[in-house]
Amino acid sequence: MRSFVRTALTAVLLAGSAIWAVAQTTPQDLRLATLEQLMNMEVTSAARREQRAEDVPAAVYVISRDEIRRSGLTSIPELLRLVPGVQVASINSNKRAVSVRGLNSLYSNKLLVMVDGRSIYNPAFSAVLWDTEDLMLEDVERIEVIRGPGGAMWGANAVNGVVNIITAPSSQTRGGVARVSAGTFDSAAAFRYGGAFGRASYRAYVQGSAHGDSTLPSGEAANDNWHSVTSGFRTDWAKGPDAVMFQGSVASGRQRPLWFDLRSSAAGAGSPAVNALSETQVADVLGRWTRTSASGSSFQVQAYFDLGRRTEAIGSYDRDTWDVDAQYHDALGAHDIVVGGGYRHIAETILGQDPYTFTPGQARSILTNGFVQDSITVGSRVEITLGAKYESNTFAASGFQPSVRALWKVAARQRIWAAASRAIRTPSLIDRGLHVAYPLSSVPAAALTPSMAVLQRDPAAMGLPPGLPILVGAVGNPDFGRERFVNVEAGYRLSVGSMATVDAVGFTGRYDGLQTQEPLPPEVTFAGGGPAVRVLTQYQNRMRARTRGAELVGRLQLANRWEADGTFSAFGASSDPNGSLDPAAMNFDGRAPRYQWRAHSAAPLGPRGQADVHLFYVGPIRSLDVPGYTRLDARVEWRLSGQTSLVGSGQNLLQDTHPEFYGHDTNIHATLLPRSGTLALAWRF
Amino acid sequence: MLLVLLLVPDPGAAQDVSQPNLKAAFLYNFAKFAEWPADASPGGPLTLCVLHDGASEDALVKLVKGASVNGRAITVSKGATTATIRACHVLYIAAAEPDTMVRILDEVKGAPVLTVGDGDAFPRRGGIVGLIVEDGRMRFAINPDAALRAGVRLSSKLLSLAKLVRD
Repeated sequence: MRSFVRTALTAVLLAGSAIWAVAQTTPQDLRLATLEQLMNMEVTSAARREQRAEDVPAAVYVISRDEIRRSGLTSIPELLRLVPGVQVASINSNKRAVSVRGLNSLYSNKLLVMVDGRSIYNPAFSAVLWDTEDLMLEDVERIEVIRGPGGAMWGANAVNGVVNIITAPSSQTRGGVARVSAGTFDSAAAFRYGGAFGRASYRAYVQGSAHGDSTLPSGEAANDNWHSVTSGFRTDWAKGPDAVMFQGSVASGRQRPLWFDLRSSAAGAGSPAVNALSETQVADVLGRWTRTSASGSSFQVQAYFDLGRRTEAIGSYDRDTWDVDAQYHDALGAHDIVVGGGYRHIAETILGQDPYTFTPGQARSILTNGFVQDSITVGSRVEITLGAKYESNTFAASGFQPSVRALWKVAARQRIWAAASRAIRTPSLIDRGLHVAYPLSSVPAAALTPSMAVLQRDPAAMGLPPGLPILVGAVGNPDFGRERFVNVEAGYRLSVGSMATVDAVGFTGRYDGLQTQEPLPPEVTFAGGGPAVRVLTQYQNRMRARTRGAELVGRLQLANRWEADGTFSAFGASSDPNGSLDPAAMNFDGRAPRYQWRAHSAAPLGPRGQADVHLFYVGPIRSLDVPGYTRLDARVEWRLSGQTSLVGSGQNLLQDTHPEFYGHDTNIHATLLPRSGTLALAWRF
Repeated sequence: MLLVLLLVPDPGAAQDVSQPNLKAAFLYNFAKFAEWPADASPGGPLTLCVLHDGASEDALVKLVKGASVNGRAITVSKGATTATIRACHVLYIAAAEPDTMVRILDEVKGAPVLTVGDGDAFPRRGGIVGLIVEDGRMRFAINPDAALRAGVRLSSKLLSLAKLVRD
């Protein structure tokens, strides 16, 4: 009798297991399973099929929430210093140059940055204007940085990399957080409250930050302090297969960017700074709906509206953007496919202030795009991903950006991957329509280029009629075309249990059609009540360049809660002027240091505290005459109670002040950044 | 929305289950293999609660429909809030910030609630069971001291399959 029961039971279970072999397993089917059987099943992550970081065939670095907290850093560009292959340089207190794998500039135009899928890349400037983003970092879940072209997925202007700042779902940020910090350079106060009602959760926050003056080479304060206020909210709702997210924010800020005063009538022409205020206001709303089926396929639609206004000493700029994107993701046999498309409408107005003009001063562009990505499993260890994006732009020529990637699971904890891709950068309003001409006499001596210096000393040597005032400047080019980039890279990853990981990448790429400034023939014109000679340069796409480098990340976890990690980046560039007469094309080193590294140690301080020490080295940038520097940061956190903690942090502890970049090409004063320290108190309730 | 990352289904896997469904099955099994000696109404229904995870909650409702455990009916208390969680027999708190985790564990202190959370950090912080996904499979870690404090008795079967953790 007993053996019959046992046989019948086995038969039922085997029949039961036949049910599970079908792709879709319903909850009721699982009721029959034993614990042992449940523990043997393969889990697929329901909503977004997130892949383990080790299986991504790209140079990805994820700055986790924990890493954000332990860095003691309070802004996104500063946090990007943690990522290998990324160059971050502060030009002055409120201006930063950030790029991936070289070609850094205030208007670094090859890096795409997004917050929750909303692009914060400013099309007119072809750059991210970092001073408008002041997110409350407690609510950032992670920052994903992909070095290398992201054009196949993200479209144009993701030439060298993509930064995706992902905020935490509001269901995970319940309760309140209040933080106040005061420091020698930075101060802030922030408050957030999150809660839930029914199936929905929400949070709302407000944050104000103030930043102090950097130092001029003379030792005086640069008067480039700035402050901003940001406020925003996020709500999330989920029921069954549907999830909806809605968020919005407004921000307003005031800075003194330290533009050179180039006005012909300027009383203080050539003086170190223009103390004109710059103001920015931005506002955005974003909504997203995701539907995931039981088999794991998903469909997502996202729409956002974003408007920004800047008033600067050199002009004012208004922009509004409407964007709708959709994508569908499903697996078909060995193929894992994502298909999507989007529509974006951007309206921009740019009005220059003497001596800047922009023609046309307005642009309305419509960008439509379609992309597809197919990950094909070959055998049991190899995965090949093919992707491409096609973009049509009313303002510029359309472009096709393909990429091929492969990943090989060499062994249980080892991966080798390789990728080849092509990306483009589309011309901007400024590339095409800029016009700025200012008196040579107003240019500060330190900012004179060699050709300007010759013009000033001996105009006759350049064939100019003597005695006439000279105007210098730059003009855009209505026929300015796309910059193109083809890149090949490969990487290796190894993990040793949960104790250590190593991630190495090597890359080489070729640029075509890079922007140069070509001299135009001098012309006699009428300015300031009399004849003058105008010697201008024009943007053209002349230069070709090659870049190559390697990036290494290592992490180690030892003993009880002691962790160490570090990164190392090497970078080299060479150019082919291709007929360009721009001195920058001849002397090209990629505007980035050859070597950068950082080391970090995190250790507990007794039962209530935590100490982190960061050491950074940034090598010199020869073409810009910027010296290298070593930086030491430290952070100590002390939990006063279950709900409050005290944090003391210091940055740039090794030197009084140091320079990081230069501003001549964008007519901004570069200053020295000071040592700083901050004390913060945070309270959670 | 990390679009670059796509999971390729492992062709070697025979069974492919979604996380919410699997979690619901585990929660059902925890209810099967635990006892609540201090239960006010020992014959009454077992109440299962889920916080912050609509998908798992829905899967659990479907799974327990018409089921019973040791002669007791099972109900899922939907839309559980911090006010009602002390009445739950099994409480699953989906991935929460460590501070939220600690706060909720504080709320149920002293009440005979079998608390379940994500990761082995959960039992280390005083929860009873932590669900872990390791190499694509679900496991769980148990903190036996926490179970003792809560007055929940776990069967030796559960303890033998679990990774044991101290807080």
